[in-house]
Amino acid sequence: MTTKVASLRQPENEVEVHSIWQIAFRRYRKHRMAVLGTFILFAIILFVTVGTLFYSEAAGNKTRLRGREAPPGSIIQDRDLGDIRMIMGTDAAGRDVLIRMIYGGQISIAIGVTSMIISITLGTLIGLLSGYFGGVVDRFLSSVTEVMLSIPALILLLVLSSAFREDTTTVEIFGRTISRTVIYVVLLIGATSWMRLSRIVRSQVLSLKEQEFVQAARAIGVRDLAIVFRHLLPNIIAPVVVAATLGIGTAIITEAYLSFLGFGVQPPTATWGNILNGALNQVESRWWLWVFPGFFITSTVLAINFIGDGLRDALDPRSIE
Amino acid sequence: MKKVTRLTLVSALIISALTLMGVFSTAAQEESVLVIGFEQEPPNLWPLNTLTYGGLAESFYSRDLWDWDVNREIYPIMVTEIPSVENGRIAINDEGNTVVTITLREGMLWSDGMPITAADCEIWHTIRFDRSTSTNVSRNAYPDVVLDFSIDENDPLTFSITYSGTFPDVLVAPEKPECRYPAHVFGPMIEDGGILEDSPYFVGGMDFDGLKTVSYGPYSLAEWNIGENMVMVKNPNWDGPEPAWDRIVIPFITDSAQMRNALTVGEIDVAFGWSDNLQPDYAAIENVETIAIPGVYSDALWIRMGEIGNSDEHGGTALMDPRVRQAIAHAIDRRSLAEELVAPGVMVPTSWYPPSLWPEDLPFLEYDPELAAQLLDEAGWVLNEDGIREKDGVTLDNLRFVTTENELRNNYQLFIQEYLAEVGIGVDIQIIPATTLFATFSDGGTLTNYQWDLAIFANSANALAPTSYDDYKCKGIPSPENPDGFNPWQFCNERYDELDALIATTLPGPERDALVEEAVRLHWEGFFWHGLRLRATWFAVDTTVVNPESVANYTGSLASNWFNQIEYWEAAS
Amino acid sequence: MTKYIIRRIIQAIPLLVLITILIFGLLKLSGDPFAAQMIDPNVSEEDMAYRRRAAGLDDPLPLQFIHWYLGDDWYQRDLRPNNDPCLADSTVVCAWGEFDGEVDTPGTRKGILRGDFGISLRFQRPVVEVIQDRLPNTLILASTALTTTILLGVAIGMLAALRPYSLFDNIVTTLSFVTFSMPIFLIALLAVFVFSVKFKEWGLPYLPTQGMYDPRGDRSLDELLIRLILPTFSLAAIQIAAYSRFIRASMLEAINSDYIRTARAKGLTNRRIVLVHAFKNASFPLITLVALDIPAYLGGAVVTETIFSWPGMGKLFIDSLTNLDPPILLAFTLLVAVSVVFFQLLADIVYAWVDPRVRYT
Repeated sequence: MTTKVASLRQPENEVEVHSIWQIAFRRYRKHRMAVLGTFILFAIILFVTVGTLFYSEAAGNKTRLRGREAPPGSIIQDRDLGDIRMIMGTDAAGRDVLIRMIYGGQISIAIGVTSMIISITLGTLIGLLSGYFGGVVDRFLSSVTEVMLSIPALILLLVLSSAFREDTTTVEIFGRTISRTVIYVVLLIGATSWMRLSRIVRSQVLSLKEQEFVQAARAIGVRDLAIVFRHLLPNIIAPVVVAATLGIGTAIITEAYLSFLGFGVQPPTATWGNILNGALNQVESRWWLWVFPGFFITSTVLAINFIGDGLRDALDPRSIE
Repeated sequence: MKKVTRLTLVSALIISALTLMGVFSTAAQEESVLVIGFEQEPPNLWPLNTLTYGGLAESFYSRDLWDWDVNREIYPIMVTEIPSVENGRIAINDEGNTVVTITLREGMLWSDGMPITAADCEIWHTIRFDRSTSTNVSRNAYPDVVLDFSIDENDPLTFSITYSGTFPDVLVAPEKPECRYPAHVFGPMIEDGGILEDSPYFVGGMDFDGLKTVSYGPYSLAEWNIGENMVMVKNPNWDGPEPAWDRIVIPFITDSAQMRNALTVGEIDVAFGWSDNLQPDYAAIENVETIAIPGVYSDALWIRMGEIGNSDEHGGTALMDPRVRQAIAHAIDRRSLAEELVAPGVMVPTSWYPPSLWPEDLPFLEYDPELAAQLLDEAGWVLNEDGIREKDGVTLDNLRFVTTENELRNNYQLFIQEYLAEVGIGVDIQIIPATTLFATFSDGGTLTNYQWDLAIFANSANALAPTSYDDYKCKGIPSPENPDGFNPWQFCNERYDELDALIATTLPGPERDALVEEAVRLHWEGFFWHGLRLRATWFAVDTTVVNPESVANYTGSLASNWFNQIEYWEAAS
Repeated sequence: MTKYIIRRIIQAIPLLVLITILIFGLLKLSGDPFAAQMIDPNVSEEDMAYRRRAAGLDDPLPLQFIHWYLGDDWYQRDLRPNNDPCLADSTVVCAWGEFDGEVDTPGTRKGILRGDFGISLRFQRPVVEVIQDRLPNTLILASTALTTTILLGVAIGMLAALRPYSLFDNIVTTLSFVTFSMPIFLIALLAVFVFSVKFKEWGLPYLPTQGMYDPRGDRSLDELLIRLILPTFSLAAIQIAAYSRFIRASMLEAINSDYIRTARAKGLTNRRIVLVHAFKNASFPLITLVALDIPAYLGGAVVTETIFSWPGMGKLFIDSLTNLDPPILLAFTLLVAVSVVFFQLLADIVYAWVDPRVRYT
């Protein structure tokens, strides 16, 4: 991953230049857990996307009165398809758990990614603005951050959810009809998880602001916005990337907590979280109903945590040799 | 690695030592204790509020004049005999009002040793009669229908209450005579202008003093550790059958998986009120027997049959046609659903009224998809090229089908959705929190604001009297002028309203039976109520502690009187 | 030092005020508490209206907020409706409008500034009493869980740092990642299933499933200790992972730093280096970590307490939220927020005290 670059300014010395990303990638590759995590995550994403080519959502919602709660591997009778084998078994309404895992997983991962995007955008923006402009802006934004940080996230989230959970209508997104609670859960998780990142960004910006290249840009009259986006943003990308990765995992697991406490995504829209929660009553007799969602949540979050750990090491400027 | 080994060893030792300590320290109990898990903690113990768990706790320490057993037969408790027309205790006076005369048994004592007299019944009458004494007591029509309360001059144990007009259901109506709480506790407070809710009697906590809970029942409430448990101890002044246990402990276990776990390891002896689909799991526990007590609620498929709430988006006027509503019932195999989803042998009711009132020839609308299709065709709703029923450009593909968050009901929804799809009717499933679904018109309730077409829920029938509710009368239709009405299905039949008024003022006899039969038929012919299952209350009891037969024989079957014969429960032999 | 502390406390006041405004606003969004109390539908409209007004729920919003702060014993409320027949006649303007114009009762609340957090709608008891009942239970669980977490977290982290990339380190690292990625309720319910239900089935000594004491009446310390094991385990499982990772990382950093190299060069043994020097270095950030965690524990472990029917703050919170009991929710959140601010301050002070490099500014 090295490139030979003939620099114009230093024609006499041909050197090997490694961009920071190349170095990071090399180090990431060496992080065995992170590589394993990448493969696991890739496999899960394949499962929830490619899976839809084999099974339609309607097939996942199909109920079977005489094939309820069939254990994995059993063959049940379907009135249209005849005898079919249920790889992951069926649930209390006779629905195929495998297909529910695919479509529920889509929602869980989508919740993770979109709420992460909201959280990262808010966190970066607020941190940048507050660190760069200072003064009143900083004081205002910092106190908002601090207020939000003073209430544990789950408590804040639960109080907010209680205000929104009564809306039970559905919306259509990307051709799937889903419960509106999905949107609330995404917005709320996003809106309650940006504070730590914003603090990190703010302190980074504060120190960057004093550095020469920023001072120089200011001196020659580059506009504030341009400085923020062209000079500051690229330099704080490392913590943002790490926070973004870990944020997806946190959001997926938070959704499961909300479901457990009765404030999560409402049926009929399935997520790994609410499928898992519905299955905990029958730990022994219907083990496949919690083992599969539990496995998917844990392994997705685990993979994401491995990746985040790898990224953190790889992007840590202190450990660049 | 030595350190690791040492560490593991030490922690393993600590854990096993603690475990053993726990196992042995529970030995040597002298008192006999029965532990009954409650899934919810009652917020307070205000008398006669309709919160289920408050009523259940009350049934351990409070008994009334009379009650009903598992077969809904009335039996006397505090009275010498059940009033009836025959024994002259129910009579119509010269003004045409109903007078009921009640004589208390001699020698009854409150749990603090004070004698029980008619004066105690009077204070309870005052509280129910005078709205300023309490804002939480459920009064129904009591202040409106009760004219007079008087104590016999010669006998301090005899009193009579006068109800306005002919009041046939004097023993069973919510306005029936009651005598639950002592005058020497509440009398002075009411006289001072205080209200019932301010009494420390009803408030739990660490310093809860059970002695304040003066009542007449087999047990007294000794402790109420909020968030943890309630403890009942034998009432020394109880003159009824001697209860089998010295103490009853009621821990609050909100997590339903944990309720079962607690029964499995023997921490509790009785778990009840769990959902039907857990029956195999409870039955699988060693030494545990499950018992189903038929209740008064039936889950049903309700249909919004009136004009309000119609829109072309949701099937236009289709549901106003009785043939369509009847077709919906024929399209669903309700018996198979109950058999598979609930339990074999579960009753699928024909009518909202209790079975004892059904005319013998009242038909059950059997599963018959061909008849359903035929009825829909007759009504003009014919299949279009997409296989959807259509009439005058309106399609039946988007009926709003609502219910509460409940696994069984949600599964019912899914299956009904498929059955209806078979005959060309499409429904959109919505799951709504109970507080929103059942809220009043002004509070934005889903039902009362007509944002639905089909629904699954239960509305208890009066299991004791043949009278109906405003929920089925024209005047119950919710609107801005009638924000508390709860007839969102809009069943409105003038003859039915008239019949119900007549039933409410006709003394029992063949005349009343005829009226009742006609009312039941009219209600049934509305085709807006299709029964899905008669709900049962499930009990799981540890057979090494409780004799399961005694539970099956001595358990109340009304909405919240399940422990009303706890004194008859027997310890395992 | 004192000046620094005083300044920090003064700085915290506007923060707390902002927090109360936020929480108050959020709870107003959550809907009508009276509707959520599942009050008997047979209670008449007039009774309900009276109670709502008496509880101050019909006052203008800013006034409700002020009442919560300062009390309403100085505020006169007109509670009884105007029964004057003139009201029925729409052609005239009635003297007193909707209410009868006579002041019925001044409020009885004193406001949080005078230590009155109101009366719980659900329990009908002063909020302070309700919280007093619950807080000790949460403290018992929290202190056990926190101690376990710190002890095991530090021990495991140290062992892992002592032999980085050894088999032990790899196993511990993987395990900590796995528990860290599992929902706590899954860990808790599986733990109950194995250690209570299955252990009993296998004839082994088994743990109780839930509750703080034996329902049959044994309230001894042994009983409490044994009932602490499973909740502590589920709370600590996740936190131990985080703590041991943290300790391992900061110890490794310290071990690779110059002064440890010097110490080694001077001939100090490996174990001594790790135990004394590296750990001392790593313990400073640990203080901050612990201080930031304590308030979260104080708020009670919502999920763990729910599963184990532990009558603590977390269970109180979730019950009050489902039943919408604003006085309790307000007091609860304020308590947690105050402790966040307090422990943050404490951490800063302790940090400054133990680490001579930090100066008070």
